[in-house]
Amino acid sequence: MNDQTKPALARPVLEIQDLKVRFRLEKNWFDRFIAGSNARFVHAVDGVDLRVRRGEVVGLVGESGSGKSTLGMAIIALVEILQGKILFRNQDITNLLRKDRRQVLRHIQMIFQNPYSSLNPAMRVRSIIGRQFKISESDYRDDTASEKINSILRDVGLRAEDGEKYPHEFSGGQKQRISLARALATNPEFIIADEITSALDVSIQSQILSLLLQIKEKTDLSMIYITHDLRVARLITDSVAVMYLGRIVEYGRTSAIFENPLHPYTLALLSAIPGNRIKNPVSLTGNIPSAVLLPPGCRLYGRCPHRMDVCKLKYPAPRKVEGRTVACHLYPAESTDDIEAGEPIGSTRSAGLSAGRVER
Amino acid sequence: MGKSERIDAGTGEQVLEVIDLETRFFTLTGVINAVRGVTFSLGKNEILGIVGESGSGKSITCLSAMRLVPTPGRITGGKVLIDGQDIMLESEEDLCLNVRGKKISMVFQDPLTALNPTYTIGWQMKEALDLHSGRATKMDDVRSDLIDALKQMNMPDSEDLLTKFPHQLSGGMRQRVVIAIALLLKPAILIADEPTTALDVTVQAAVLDLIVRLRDDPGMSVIIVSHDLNLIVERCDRTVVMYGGLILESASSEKIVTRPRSPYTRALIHCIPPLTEDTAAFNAIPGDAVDLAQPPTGCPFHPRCANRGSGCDDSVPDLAEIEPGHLVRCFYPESVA
Repeated sequence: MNDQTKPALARPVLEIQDLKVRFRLEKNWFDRFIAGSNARFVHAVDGVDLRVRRGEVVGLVGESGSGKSTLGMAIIALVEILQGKILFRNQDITNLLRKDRRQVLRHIQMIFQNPYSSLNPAMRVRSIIGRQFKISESDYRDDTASEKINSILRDVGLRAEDGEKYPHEFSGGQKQRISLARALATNPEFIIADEITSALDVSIQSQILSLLLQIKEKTDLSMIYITHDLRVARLITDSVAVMYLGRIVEYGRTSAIFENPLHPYTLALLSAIPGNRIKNPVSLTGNIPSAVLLPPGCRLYGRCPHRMDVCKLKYPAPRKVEGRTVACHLYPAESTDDIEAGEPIGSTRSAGLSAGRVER
Repeated sequence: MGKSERIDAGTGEQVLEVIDLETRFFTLTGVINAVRGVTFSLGKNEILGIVGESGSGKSITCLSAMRLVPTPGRITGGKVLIDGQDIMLESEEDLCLNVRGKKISMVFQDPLTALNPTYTIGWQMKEALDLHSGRATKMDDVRSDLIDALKQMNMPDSEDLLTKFPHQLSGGMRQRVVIAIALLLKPAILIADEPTTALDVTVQAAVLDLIVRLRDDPGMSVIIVSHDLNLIVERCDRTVVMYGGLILESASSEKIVTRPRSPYTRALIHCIPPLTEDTAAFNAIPGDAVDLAQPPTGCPFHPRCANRGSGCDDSVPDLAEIEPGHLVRCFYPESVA
């Protein structure tokens, strides 16, 4: 992966602004009535800004419960958005009407984690992929579509004859290839891949990953790649957004983040990768807290080894450090909007954390 | 496969010896050879890792070692010696009272399914004590033992924990409870089958450290089973690599990563995404996982193997010792670079 930004990468394809998604805890009408104004919510995504440029693969990483999947689903309107904006090619797609949504969403495709449940077992592979053409093309014709389906099947490493089979006749890895073929069928500009290799064995995962690397090389497809496996993120992505409890805590170039993690949470995640030698690893105590009652300060406060008093009171506004965005009080803030409660800690602390760079 | 293939850890006493173990599943659609003659031993205070993909037979090997193979599976051959005693010859009742829990214990992948959601943690811990001792104990008599067991697993508020239900705990806490239960009767051997697969990465390290620490305190032998090669070699003294029901390679963990001799081990190392810029080091393993109902003839890995040559599809190579303590099952092993 090259570090230099290609000139063509400059224009953002997708822009997410201050996105918030929450879910009600009271699921049925009776509980809602009882709860009244005391209704409780899970704040799954709680103010996320993200830009994905053309041809860029952005990784969303974090533990389970960090909101990375919800963010992916919010983009293609699978969950209700509470607040914020999603711009796709400068067009606001946040609250599209149903009829317009289909026109836009053919350019954005999602691939899901479980290949066993995301393919219709009653349809032949050929129809699963062909349906995409039927939906997205006004001049759809069976004979031309058939040729296209064959070529897409070959692109993902399957044979044309495989189109006549049903999903259950394939192994997990092959099913994930079919999901990929279905996503690529509409010739999308943007793909959201949600943990697409985590249900697979390592050897099969390696095949899907090298297929993705090929696709990435050949096309200028933009992608959001959601994963909890940092090794996979390192291989596939150009930049990485580390999420914790609904917010992005660190965002920057993949190589920079892996070589020199700035946020304590990022460092802890990297320390936890088996086989990764880090000079001064950090391990977090405790568990990811509930996203129902969020603390006013930094969400990592209870688990962070570098916690200070200011962390408890004020959520650190994202700040630019070494070309990255980091939400942590350890680094000096650009604006004064979050430092009323205490002095920001200067670069001496930042040097301390940087010592955790990856040793090879 | 003869008994000449015995693997010796090289150091002293063997607490567990598995010799030519074969386990088959007699399903309606045919016989599945899940374990096809596995031989290994576990030394005292040793941490052994078994690594393999799904269908490699790693979990069934461990279940067989405790004689816990679920129907329609059956152990069709081989011996399992615990402290020199063949557990294949013992009655089910003897096993339950004297072997399982007391000499050898197991921790499973998913702590939520291993614990009963309708009983408190304390009750389930006491149940384990009662079942393996064959008599009913009073909660008041054993409470302090239970609290000690939980404290050993670094759990705060162990006293409150006894009255809690599994759903009130996080995944990492549940797995600690499961390990605490496994250790209640102070067994000499612990088998941990994918103990951290259901947990988040940040919790995984803490739970694994707890397991590894058992070697020194109270002094146990541990088998860790995982699909993650890095996790195994980082924490185990010796690593056994399985594929298609067979051991393909067995050596010290250091040798496995630095000088793998089996083509499968080498391919496995290269298909794990590297943490460096060097994407050339990343190579996919082609082909499909082995189908145990219709395994390929000869070496199970040969259809996907880069080194395959004549004879590979014909017969299964023997597990041969090519260096002291380094066993490889391959006709064309990797040369030492």
